[in-house]
Order: sequence, then structure tokens, then C-alpha cells
Amino acid sequence: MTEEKNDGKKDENEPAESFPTRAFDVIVLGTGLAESLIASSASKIGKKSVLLLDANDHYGNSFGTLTEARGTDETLFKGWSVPVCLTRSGAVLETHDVVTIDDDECLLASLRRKFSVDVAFKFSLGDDRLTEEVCNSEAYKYLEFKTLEKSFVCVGTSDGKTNGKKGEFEFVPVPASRAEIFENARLSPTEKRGLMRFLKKARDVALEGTGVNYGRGDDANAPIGAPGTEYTLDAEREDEGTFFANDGDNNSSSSSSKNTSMKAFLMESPNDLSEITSDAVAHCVSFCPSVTTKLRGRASEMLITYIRSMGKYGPETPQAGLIPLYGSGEVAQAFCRVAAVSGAITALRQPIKKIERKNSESHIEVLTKGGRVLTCKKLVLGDAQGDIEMVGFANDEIITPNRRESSKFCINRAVLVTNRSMVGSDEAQHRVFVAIPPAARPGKLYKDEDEFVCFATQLDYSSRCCPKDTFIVHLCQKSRRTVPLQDVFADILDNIFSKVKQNGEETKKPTILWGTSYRTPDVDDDIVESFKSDDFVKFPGADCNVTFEETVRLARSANGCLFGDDANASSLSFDTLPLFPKAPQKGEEREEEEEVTGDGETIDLNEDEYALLRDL
Amino acid sequence: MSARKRTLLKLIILGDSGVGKTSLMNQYVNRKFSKQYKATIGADFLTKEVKIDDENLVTMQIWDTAGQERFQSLGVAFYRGADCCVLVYDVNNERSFQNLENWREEFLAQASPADAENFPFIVLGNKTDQDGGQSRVVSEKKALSFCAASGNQCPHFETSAKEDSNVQDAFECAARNALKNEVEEEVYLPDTIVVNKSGSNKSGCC
Repeated sequence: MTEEKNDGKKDENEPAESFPTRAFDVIVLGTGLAESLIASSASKIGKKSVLLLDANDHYGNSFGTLTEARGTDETLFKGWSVPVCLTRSGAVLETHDVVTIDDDECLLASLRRKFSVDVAFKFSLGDDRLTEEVCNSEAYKYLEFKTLEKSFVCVGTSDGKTNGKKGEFEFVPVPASRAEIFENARLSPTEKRGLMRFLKKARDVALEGTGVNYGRGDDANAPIGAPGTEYTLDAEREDEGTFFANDGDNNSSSSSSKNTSMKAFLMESPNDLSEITSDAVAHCVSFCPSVTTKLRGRASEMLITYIRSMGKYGPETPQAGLIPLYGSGEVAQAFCRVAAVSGAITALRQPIKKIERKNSESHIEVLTKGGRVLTCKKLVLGDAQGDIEMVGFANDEIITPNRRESSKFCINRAVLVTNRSMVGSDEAQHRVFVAIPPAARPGKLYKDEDEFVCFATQLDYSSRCCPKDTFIVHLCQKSRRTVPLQDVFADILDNIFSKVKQNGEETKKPTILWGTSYRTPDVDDDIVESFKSDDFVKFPGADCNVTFEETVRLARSANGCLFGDDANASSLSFDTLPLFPKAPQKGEEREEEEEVTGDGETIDLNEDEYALLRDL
Repeated sequence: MSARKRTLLKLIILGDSGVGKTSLMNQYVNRKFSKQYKATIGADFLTKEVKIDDENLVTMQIWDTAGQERFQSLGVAFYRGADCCVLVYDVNNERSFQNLENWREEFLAQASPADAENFPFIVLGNKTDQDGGQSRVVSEKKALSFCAASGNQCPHFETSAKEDSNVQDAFECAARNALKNEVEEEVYLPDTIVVNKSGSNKSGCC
């Protein structure tokens, strides 16, 4: 698709199709995940009139996926002007760097239609908040998922703990079942017991009250701590209080655990796990992006979500992580369709000039660059919508570029296309997640950079993000702004990958066929927690987490502020309320029209139902 | 698994708003027609099981634009994996006919089918019933020459969703062409996780 054509078409059609002039209940500017969630929920569940606009020519913004079809056809690989293509994604880019250019340019250029490159790759867990929303909203009709096959934690070799060559990383598999823990040669018997005890405790809490029966304990493949295993016999629960640290949402007074990071907690008594094991749990299970973050409550919650997710879809899929096919950008797009199907008007390429809160008329006016004035009761503003003049908003509702850039931190990302798996040729190790903790990187240039973990996710052909025999690796790491972008991933690129073509022989390192790195502003928690008004919400872009969890949490919280009871409008307890409640049971409500369009079976509609469908 | 016969066909219906996409789909699948026009809301996709040429039992999944065509805002996910594209115009509306070429190009750009040259399109001129044919502005001849120009013997039907004229034939033709187009490389069926099944069936993993 070319720009000219689109523009031409748009102009041509503009007079025929314009937005209704009536006031909307909700206008959503931006189609990132949080915005799409709010728009679809307001439309489908809230039965509100919703207008969903995006300044860009595609869905998702920083949650979007780059495909060849979307750039002008030169941008993705040919000419290697990737930054241009990333800019088109609408992500706020501060700086960028093209890592390498290989002689396989022609090959890649011919295959470029087959790549889907996420701006900020994320995956979900089988039982996390996103999956809950996907199921209840029926967005699952537009999505497909594959599981992650394996998780690894990286260990550096200079500390004498590993057998690898000096200066290289060793990939230590993270056990996913009891059998794998027992077979793990790296763990001492004491540590095996300690780990089992810890995970069992987490599991007891995780499954409490869910009524879930996760199989028999004598099955070696039973997830860790399954009822009936030797470690579930003792019913002691005395540590629960400290196990679930509260992050202070309720301002509970000084719980000692509040001041401990997940990793430190695991290494301390009574858990006494080794550093490697602690890293594995903190970063491959709890997905903590840093070794020092004090939000251990979130980390514990993630651990529990992880445990609940394992094996949720049957014994063939013991892993917790779910990768959306064609890239994580599909998720935001699916929710946009949910919104459209429920009656929201959706339109791309609609840049906004100004938004003005008219207190006297208790509505908000939106002025498009095309000169239309639209009004709404509630306004949601996402990222990457260009410079919008904001009138009538409080200072803390406005996030200026300056304010963002004054943050000490930023998010660094790299996307690599490689020719082989970074964890060997094992068939089952193509879609993998790797956490590279600071402890594994003693040779780093910046000594004060010892907090942030680098997350690496590798996707293969089966994820539909790249053609056969190639792999896509997404790297993500938070850092201080003072660290130059090219230094953030330098040691990882050197250790795990090769920048020159190697034909077989000694080293089996994957070659980087193409790669780019870029930096986006950090999305700090202050912004996240600052919803106050019940008529306006501003969402930041994608955060540094590797799962969607925080984004969905944020959307739920915002939804509570916008549409919840006034009495509780500012309460964060809204966080727990899903945007899409569980669908009513059969015969309960007349909401069955959607069944018609459901999963492969056709139901005959009677006249009334048909009329309902038409007139909705 | 790789040898499995294709049993699910994805058809998408494209064309300007108001040409009768949803009505055609409803007439074909549900044998229903409503005179009242409302920009499409609530229509997602409809499915119908059909037997093609007495041998292949296939499930047709016909995707509606859900109103997103009004501002040319159909995302790439909508187009992806389509086995046949049904282009619809209104025989009483010249512009809806002229826009077919735009829709065709948009489809090819977004769906990026492996073999764009031979991808099956089918063109439907709808609303032949209107004013007893008095208000028609697009002649069949004109439509046929568009079809000829777009290659691959693109079939053309003049339909009336209201009077159920030619609708069944048109969709059967679409299904047949979609089946013919089966591309080898797409035989690979990803073995994906069915997330929505889990809610009701939470009984254990082992």
C-alpha cells in the first residue's frame, strides 16, 4: 500500500463519510492495547457510543507490529532504513542504531513480506489478566497463540560456576516440572528441596479456592507442587503473610518484605536459594525487569499467575507463556475489532489538533486536524498521537515530552533477525525466553548498571513472525539515560551472536542477518498511578515488561476511574475488576446473537433475533 | 496433520459502505433480508457449511468489515489468511464500482497473498432490484471488462440480496475458487492453543 493511494482514497471518500456530529459517550484517541481495551469494553459491555481514532495509518502504536505491507515497500529491509519504518509505527523514538548489515540483504529483501516485527514485543501467560480479557471479550476469535517452549536464565562463565568457555554465557534451562527439577544437575539436593518447598507454598496459595485439580502427584510431569506430591503433605501455611508482600497499595504500615526485592527475598532465609536459582525465579517466572525493584507484591502475584498458567491448556503445553501468532500487535488490533463489531466507529489517519475540556458544558471537545469538532463526555488519550494542544487540563494530566525525557531511565530495545536458534538446534527450543541478569554480565562497561535484566525472546517460523529458517530475537532492557544505546546490548550481541557469516564449523553462534536497536521513554509508575479525573485518562506507551500484565492492570484501573461508581472513582481496587466480565451462562441473557458468528457453528436466527442484530 | 484437507475457508467481503455486504452475507447464510439500512454494527463473521461439487464438505467463514471500511480502517489482521475476496459494488452507484480497483489493491497490499497474480477475487454487482432496474448506472459490460482487466478470470455476478437473486450461486462460486487456490505452503497448520476453551474446562493438565 502506498501513501499516495491512501491519501487519494481518503480525500475522495471524505465528503461521503463523516463522523456523526452528536456527542459521543467516549472518544478514544490511539489504538494501543490499553486504549483498545477501554474502547472495546465501553462499547461492548458499557453499551456506550464510542469513537476510536488514531493519528497513524495502522493499529497498535507502540503495541503494534511492523509488516512489510504497512511501510512503504522500501522500509523494512531493503535499504535497511529501519528507523524510518519504526518512526512510522508511531512509537516515540529517542535514538536508534542499525546494528549490522549482512550480505544476506537480498535474501531478506525477497522475504520481507513474511516478517512481522513488533515495536515492543510482549507475550501473555495462560492465566493472566490479558488472557482473561481475551476470553471474555471474544477477542479470541481473532487471535491464535503458541506456547513458549522453554525458559532459560543466563549465567556468566567468569564466576567459575559454569563449564562454558570464558567470557560466554551459558543458558541454564528453567525447570517447568518436578521431574525437571529433580533431573537438574546444577541444583544441589538441598536446593532442590528448598526450591520445591518455596514453589509448593506459592502454589498452594495460587490454587487456593480455584477448585482446580492439576493432576496427580505421582506423575513426574505434574507441575511443581501438585497436590499429592511429597511436598504437599505438610499443610503448614505460616509464612503466607510474608510470602505475599503488599506493595503498599493499601498503605499498610511497614511490612518488612516491602523493602526487599524478589531476588533478595529468594536468597534470604528462610528460602536460601542460590543466586542462579533466585535469578531464574525472579526473572523467568516473576519477570521482574530489575533485580532491585521493591514491588515484590507484584512479583509474587506474577509468580502465582505463572504457576496457575502452567499446564492450563493440557499436559502437552506445560509452559506458561503464550505468544500471539503474527506478533503481539495482533492483540490490540483484535480488541479494536471487538470495539467495531460492538458498534464503535473506528478510523485511522485522524490526527488531532486540540482537545479542550469545557467545564461549563461538562464535556470535552476534540478538534481534528481536518477541522471537525467532536464532543464527548469522556476522553482517552494514548501515546503517539502527535502534538496535541491541551486546554483546560491540570498540569499533571499533561505529559509533555520534556517531562518524559527528564526521567532518569529509558527503555532500550533491539530486534534481530538470525539464522539459527540461540539455544542450540533442539527442535523444541525455538520459541524461547531468556533472562540475562546483571550477575551474568561482569564485563559490562558501566559499573552502576547492575540493576536491570535484559529479556530476550526468540520466535521462529511457527509463530508466523518470520519465514522458515530464520528467527526473530527481541531484546529489551531498561537503563539509565546516561548509558549510550550502543553499549546496552553490546556484550550480549558479542557473546550470543555473530555479526559475520560463519559457515558451519566450530562456533554454532547464530548470525545476525539484520538488526536494529532503539530507545523509547520509560513509562514510570507515577504516570501509571495518577488517574484522578473521571472524564479523562492518558495512557503512556508500552512499558519495559515482557508481559502485557501491567498494561491490562493499567487499563482496568483507568476503566474504574472513568466508569466506576463515583464513591470509589479514585480507588486502585478497581484494578481487580476485569474490563470484560465473564460471559453470562446460557439462557441468562439475550446476548446470544454473537453465537451466530461464533466458532464454526451456525445457529438459525428467528425474526426477533435477526431484527435485534440489525438494529443493535 | 500436514496432509489434512482444508476444511475452513476464509472469505472476506469488501466494498464501499452501503453496497450491501452485510445483506449479501445474511441472505446467503441466514436466508434473511432486512430493508432497513444501518451501517453495519454487530456483524462479525458468519459461518456456513457447504458441500462443494459433491465431495468437499467445507466450512465457509465469511468476514464482514464491521463498519471499519467506512474510513479505510481495516487492519491487516482482517485481511490475513483470506482464501477468497468478494468485491461488492452497487449497480446503481458509479463510485462504488470505481472504487473496486482501490479495494482490490488494498487487499493485495495488506493480505500479501503468496500468489497475487492468481489470487481468487469475485465481483458482485448488488441491488439489481432497485427501482426495477431503472436506476442502474453500471452496465454488466463495464463490470465484465473490469473483471477481464484484473486477470485470473475473475467471475462476475449481478445479485440482489433483497430478492435472493444469484446470491447462492455467487458464494458457491467463491467457495469453489477458494478451494482451487489452495496454496501448498499454507498447508502448514499451526497447532495453536485454544484459550477460550479453558474457562469451562479447567480440569487438570495431567
